[in-house]
Amino acid sequence: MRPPRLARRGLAIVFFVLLLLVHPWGPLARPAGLAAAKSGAPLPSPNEVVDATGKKISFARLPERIIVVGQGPFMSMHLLYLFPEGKDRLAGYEEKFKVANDFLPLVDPRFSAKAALATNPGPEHVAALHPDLIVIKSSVPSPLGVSLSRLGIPTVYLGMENPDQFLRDVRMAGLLFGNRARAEEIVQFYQARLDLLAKGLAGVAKEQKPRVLVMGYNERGGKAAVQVPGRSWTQTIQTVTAGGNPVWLDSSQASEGWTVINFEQVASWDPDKIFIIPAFTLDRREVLKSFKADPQWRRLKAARNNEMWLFPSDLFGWDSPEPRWILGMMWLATKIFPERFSQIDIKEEVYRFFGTMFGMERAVVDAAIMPLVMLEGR
Amino acid sequence: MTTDGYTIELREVSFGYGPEGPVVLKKLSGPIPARSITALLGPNGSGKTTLLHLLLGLLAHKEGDILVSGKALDDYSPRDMKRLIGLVPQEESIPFDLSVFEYVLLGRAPHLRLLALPKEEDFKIALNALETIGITPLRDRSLPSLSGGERQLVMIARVLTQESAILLLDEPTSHLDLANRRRVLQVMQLLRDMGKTVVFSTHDPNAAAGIADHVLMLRDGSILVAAPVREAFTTRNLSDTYGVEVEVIEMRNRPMVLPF
Amino acid sequence: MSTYRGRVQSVRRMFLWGTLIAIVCLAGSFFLGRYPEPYLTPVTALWDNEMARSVLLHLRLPRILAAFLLGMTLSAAGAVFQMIFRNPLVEAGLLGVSQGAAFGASLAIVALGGRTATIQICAALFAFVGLGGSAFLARRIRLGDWVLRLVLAGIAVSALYTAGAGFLKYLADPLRQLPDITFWLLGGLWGITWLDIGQIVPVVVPCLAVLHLMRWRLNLLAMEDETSFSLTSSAGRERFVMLLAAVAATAAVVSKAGQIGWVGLIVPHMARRVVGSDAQWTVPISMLFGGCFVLLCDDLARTLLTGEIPLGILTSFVGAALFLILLMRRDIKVRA
Repeated sequence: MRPPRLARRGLAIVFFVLLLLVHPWGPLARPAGLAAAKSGAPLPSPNEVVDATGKKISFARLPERIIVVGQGPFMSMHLLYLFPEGKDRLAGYEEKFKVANDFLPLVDPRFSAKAALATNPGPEHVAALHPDLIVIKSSVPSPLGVSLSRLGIPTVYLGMENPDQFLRDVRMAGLLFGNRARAEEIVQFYQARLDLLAKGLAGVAKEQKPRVLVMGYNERGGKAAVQVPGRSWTQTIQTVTAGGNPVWLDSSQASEGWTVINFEQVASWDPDKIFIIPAFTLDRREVLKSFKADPQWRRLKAARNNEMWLFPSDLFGWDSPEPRWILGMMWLATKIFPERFSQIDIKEEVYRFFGTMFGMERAVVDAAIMPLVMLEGR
Repeated sequence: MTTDGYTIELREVSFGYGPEGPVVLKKLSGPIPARSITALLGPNGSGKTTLLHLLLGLLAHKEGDILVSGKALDDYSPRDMKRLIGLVPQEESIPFDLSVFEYVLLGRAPHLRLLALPKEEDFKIALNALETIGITPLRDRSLPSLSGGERQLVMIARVLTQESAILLLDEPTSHLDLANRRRVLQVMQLLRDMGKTVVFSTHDPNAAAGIADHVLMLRDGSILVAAPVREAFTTRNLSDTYGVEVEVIEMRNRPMVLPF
Repeated sequence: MSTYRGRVQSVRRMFLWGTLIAIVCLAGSFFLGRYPEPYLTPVTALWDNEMARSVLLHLRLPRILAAFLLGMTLSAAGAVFQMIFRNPLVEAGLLGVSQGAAFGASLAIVALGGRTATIQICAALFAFVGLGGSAFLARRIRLGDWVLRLVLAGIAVSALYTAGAGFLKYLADPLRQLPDITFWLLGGLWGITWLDIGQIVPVVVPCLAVLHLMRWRLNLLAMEDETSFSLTSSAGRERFVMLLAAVAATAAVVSKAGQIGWVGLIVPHMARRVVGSDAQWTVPISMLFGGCFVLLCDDLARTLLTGEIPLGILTSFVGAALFLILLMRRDIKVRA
């Protein structure tokens, strides 16, 4: 008596769910308007960019409603905000974490008027905001991007994984905003500092470079294990450019993500300097204290020589691929090779960075940024 | 454990599944004498297995009494019941290759405390059981490798190891060929001669005719006949029980049932 | 008589060997690691070098003990589940226990702050809920005998939990939380300290003791319902106690180590090939085998490469390979 009725109801639910899933999102007829040209097709206008996936996109006119979605949207948004046009032309973004948006309101008082999409929006949600450009941080096309392109909305990918890519992304943004001059200004800003570091390290042999460990910590392994960044990640490049010898590179693992390393291996490396990146949910000072107090970690050379630091950050870390990476790099250089980079005044650099890049006045930086930065790293 | 002979008596026993379920057994009454073989006969679905489960105590009867040696089954402690009544189910299919000896040894469980392991005496009793039934050579064989007949004998050995006075067997010969069938029936006679009260269900009247002393014929959950074998095996009784016409003939001093 | 006694003696000898092998494995693992050099640690390191001593006693020792306990628990629980459910293809993953623990951990990571203590408590809690849910659901299903009912219910509960964990993964931030959850779901012992040992031992040791003491009764519980009823008046209660002990121990270790698959499935099979199907021998031998198996896998996990290899990957790899071999050699053992 009971099973048949249950079965019928169950079938109905399954059918309904299937219906929802099969809803046609993708292949709709292309609406009139902006055309997304595929490479090889004749281009109607000279406005054409090549994004991080190698795709060529052309525009009839400059985009005015830009939506940022995908991985780490704040990184792309910060890059867009390097340009004065950014605040006007950013129409909306995917809200990955509530906390991720404490910074931009400082730069743009009208930031709260931007449309915030819920996490993992579907193409329809995005299309409903009538964007004329989608920006996604990724080196490969994402499914969302592909769906949106099929709807006729151009999607541009930012790589942002290393300095070279970052600068290319900046130049591309310059094209998108029609402000090449500003793009060059930004590139010059970064390049000057990169050159400064390179000059400071001229002639330094590999053996002279201090052995450095940059590690992520999120409490879950206790102090028995930590994580090291991928081979081509920003943190690794920052370390190398700042003159350090990243110990995690001479290993048999060619991993591209965070790799868990147990303490034995760290002890075996016994690096000269250790930089800790705690998970952003943790109390940074407490983390450093606990490492210095840990009976095993404090026996390491770096701890005994007082060479254990917290990787600095303000509202956002200086170790991620977003615009602040240059600050992280310079700061690392002052810690790794203090004698060669004693002329770098990090405090001034912070003012200069936020002033030149985001147009923030010293007072604003003093109020919102400086208190959070542990300039000394401890 | 002395077996002075355990008589079972059914008095108006009824049973049904659940408070509103159909009544499967209706007011069964009849004796099951000690030191004898009683056969439960009847077509499929007449309630034979249910009755065996009631006797085992696995199912609780709704009305009436089941008396064992004059004492109500409910009044026996669970421990005493396990030592008293053993069951050979219709089949025992375990997907692990337990050896025959290990399996037979399990019969000692009612005599062992919860965390106790079988000891020397238990091994002896198990071996004796194997010997009594004559399957000592099978001792180290694995259960799944046995033939149907061998498996029946092994199950009986287990129940023998249990040293229970009352043995219930559910369709012991139903899937066996002639030779094995005969062997099993012979073993059952042996058990009766040892003083056990043997009750077995079968849908084959000739198995009953072969060895039973006493017969209960069931149909649709009621007892039609409860009598010694000679009295019970009449054309009329059997036809009523099975619902088909049969003929009862006498053969070598035993009744024999032929379907028409 | 003599053959059975002989058998008991030969199994006892096997126990002795097994224990010896276990001790050798433990001792050997003690000297394997990445400090000061990859792979072998010289014995002198113990008294030479303060850092080495600290590493060996505070990092390696608790970890190898944890690995051994993990192996013992998963294998004993697997053996118990297989016999009680009369199904040689069953393990903790079938009752919603592992999935419940995984779901609890994911929940703790995504929504409750992701601190170690929270993760473990949530994992254990949801593992228990998984078992309870399966048992409760099984009583309501009216299809087949109790073994089938429980298995069906367990599958349903496991599927629910897996979907829940999948949903949480979907919600998690791919940059920060998702790698966390993923690594955790693959299993690993890289965070084990003496504190963790102190937290699992009070649960695992008594539970394993219970399973060991009741090992012969397990044979009874593996019989058909009518048979086990005819032999013991407390079959239901005995099954419950053994399941409870198996699940409690499993939840405790899974909450510390993550989901480690295949061990509970494979080790009892191997044990059965060596000592036969009598649970009196299978349970303790499974514990010894399982302990060594996971210990050796974990040695590889922490020693082979610079970084940690998730333990679940290694046990799955080795376990699945062994399982395939076993499947292809399905001869029924006839012991002469």
